[in-house]
Amino acid sequence: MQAKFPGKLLPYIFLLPTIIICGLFIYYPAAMTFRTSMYQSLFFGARQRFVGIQNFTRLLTSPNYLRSMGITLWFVFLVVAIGLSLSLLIAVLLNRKLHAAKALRVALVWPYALSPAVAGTIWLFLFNPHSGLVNYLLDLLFSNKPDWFSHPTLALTMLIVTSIWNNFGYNLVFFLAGLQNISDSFMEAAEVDGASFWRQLFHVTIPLLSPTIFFLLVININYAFFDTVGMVDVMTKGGPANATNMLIYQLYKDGFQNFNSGLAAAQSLILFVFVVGLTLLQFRTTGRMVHYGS
Amino acid sequence: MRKLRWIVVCTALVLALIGSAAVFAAPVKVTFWHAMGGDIGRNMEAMIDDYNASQSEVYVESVFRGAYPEVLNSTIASAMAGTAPTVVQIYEVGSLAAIDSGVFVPIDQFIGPDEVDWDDYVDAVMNYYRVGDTQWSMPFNSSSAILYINADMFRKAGLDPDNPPKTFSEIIEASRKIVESGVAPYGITWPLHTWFVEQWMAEQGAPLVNNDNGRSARPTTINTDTPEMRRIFEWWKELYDEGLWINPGVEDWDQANAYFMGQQVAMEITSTSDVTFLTNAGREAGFEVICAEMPVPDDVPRHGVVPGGASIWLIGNKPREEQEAAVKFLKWMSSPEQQVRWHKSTGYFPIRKSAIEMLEAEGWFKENPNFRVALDQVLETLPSVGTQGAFIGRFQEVRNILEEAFQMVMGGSTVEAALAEAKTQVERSFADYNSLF
Repeated sequence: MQAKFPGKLLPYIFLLPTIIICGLFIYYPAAMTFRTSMYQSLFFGARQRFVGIQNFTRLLTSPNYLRSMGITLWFVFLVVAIGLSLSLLIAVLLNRKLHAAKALRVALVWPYALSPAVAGTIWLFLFNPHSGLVNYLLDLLFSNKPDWFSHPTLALTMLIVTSIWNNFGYNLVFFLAGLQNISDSFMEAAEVDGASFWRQLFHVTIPLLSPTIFFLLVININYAFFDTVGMVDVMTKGGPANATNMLIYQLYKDGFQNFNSGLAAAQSLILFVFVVGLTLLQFRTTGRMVHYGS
Repeated sequence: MRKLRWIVVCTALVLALIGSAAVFAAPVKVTFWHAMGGDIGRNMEAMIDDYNASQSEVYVESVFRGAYPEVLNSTIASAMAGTAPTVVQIYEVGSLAAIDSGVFVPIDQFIGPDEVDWDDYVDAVMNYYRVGDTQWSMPFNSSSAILYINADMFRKAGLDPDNPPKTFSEIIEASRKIVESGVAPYGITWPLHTWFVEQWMAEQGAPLVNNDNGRSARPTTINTDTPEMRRIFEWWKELYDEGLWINPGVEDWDQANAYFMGQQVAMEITSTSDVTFLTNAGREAGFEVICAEMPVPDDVPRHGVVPGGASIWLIGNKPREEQEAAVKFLKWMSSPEQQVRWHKSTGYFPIRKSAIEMLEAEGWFKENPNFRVALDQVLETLPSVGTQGAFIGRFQEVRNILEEAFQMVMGGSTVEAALAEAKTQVERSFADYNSLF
């Protein structure tokens, strides 16, 4: 159904505010980023020198940067996979008529309202090797108090746990909404056919939820790549020895601590290409597996 | 007729009011960005409120802009955008970046030859912020690193707090005794921060970078392959490997303080700017805090420390009237009376010799010996290229690289390998920076 406009000019006038804002705040900065990435620069452009693609070649041949990329990909994979699976499971369990359903729902969703930096601060205290709650419980149960900040794998684990916790509410809300859209007749039919809980989950619920899952995949990947920079800064500052140096955190350091806007812009572009590429790949592969309309 | 008279009278009154308002000059507004938060921040705000209340020529609006790196960053960004403040507190290691950014103007351009008694300012501090004959900024809060000791824990472990450990090996022995006696789970802590490495290099009389510590020309390499640097890292590694030093986190001043106040360690090395805070915290928690000079490597004569902290810089491209008002504010902030007040409420040492004399005259240091330690360390410093402090443009990057180097050591790397890697990275950073000049 197409809208009919009385004149040829009117649609463009309606679009104008959006175009202006997008232009000023998205397209123009993107173009400037592209330009900046071809310079070695200092102090936000006070001094600069054209270097062409040198920033890019430096980054793509730097073992530190490639290591950073590996760490980020591994981090994103775990945050998305574990985060979505866990929130789906909890959503399915929470979808039943429980007495405490409403209260549980609030309790599980509200951490999403916290900014990643605040979530990082909370878990920083919880993971404190000496006085944190996590180590207190681990000590009680296993007589072991690991040093979460000094060990590379433990530091990454800490960040993964915090990221999943922070975004959990978002995933839960969407899954619950999606589940409520599934008519009961599907679930009853499956039960009548003798399907177990897991069978129902994998053969009925998940295929019917596929649009939601696909949407959340894209959102979560974006979240894990970009929104966790505050968390990294608060908890580990990229350490120990760059074990948690996410691509976005290295970008922040280069742009805002080392005054190297050119290198930061180049990293920004590489990240952009990466994430867009990943999203396109997703549309091609898992996008095909989505069933729209029940 | 009556109406006309009323109109004339009212107009005359209004004009008179406007005229009289013009006679009373409104105070010149000065915006001041600083990095002082928490207790120290409250003290600073109180001082500025008093300044505003005490005179009507200058009104200072102060804004807390976060930690030192953020303040420098946001200042340069805002200067590019044309929305910069009038004066800014920049940390000492941001000095070369501040000069190279072109955003600031030396304060001595606004201070006449006899207006300020520069001789009354502590030499070590003035020399840090001077390049050639130009005095770039007004020193304000200067600090050095000192050793805080939990005297009660020391006595329980059989150590004498009045005879504190002075050398690296004495720290190791004291820490071992603390841990073995079970008095505390760890012996010592300090934030995982390159500032301490810089201080230990200076104590050994070694410049951190080449070209006279970056003072005669921008540095091209860092002195990580020297015995002085290796001594620092080897000792630090030994403390970590033996479980005597606890890692509070990278550049985490608060967590290091928390460990000391929570009595998880018997010793802490941190800035003198926390002397008031930690002494009071100790008193509340029931233990006595004694301060001592930083430990130094064995068999190396003490050369002294690099003044830490920050100074206040003047932004260029502002109306002359505003800059002159700002300079009035700076002179007041560094006046002896205000320096005495600032010292007593925080622990930063006074940068005016007359302020020190005032404090001595009233017996302040006798009653509060902890406050004397940092000051003595600075006054006894032998002037040299090493103790003048390094001038590096991308100082924060160099700090990050050295902090990563020690984290590699904690992860099992040898000191040689970690320092060699650090050197390569720093040299590349220097090459990039210098290529733009």
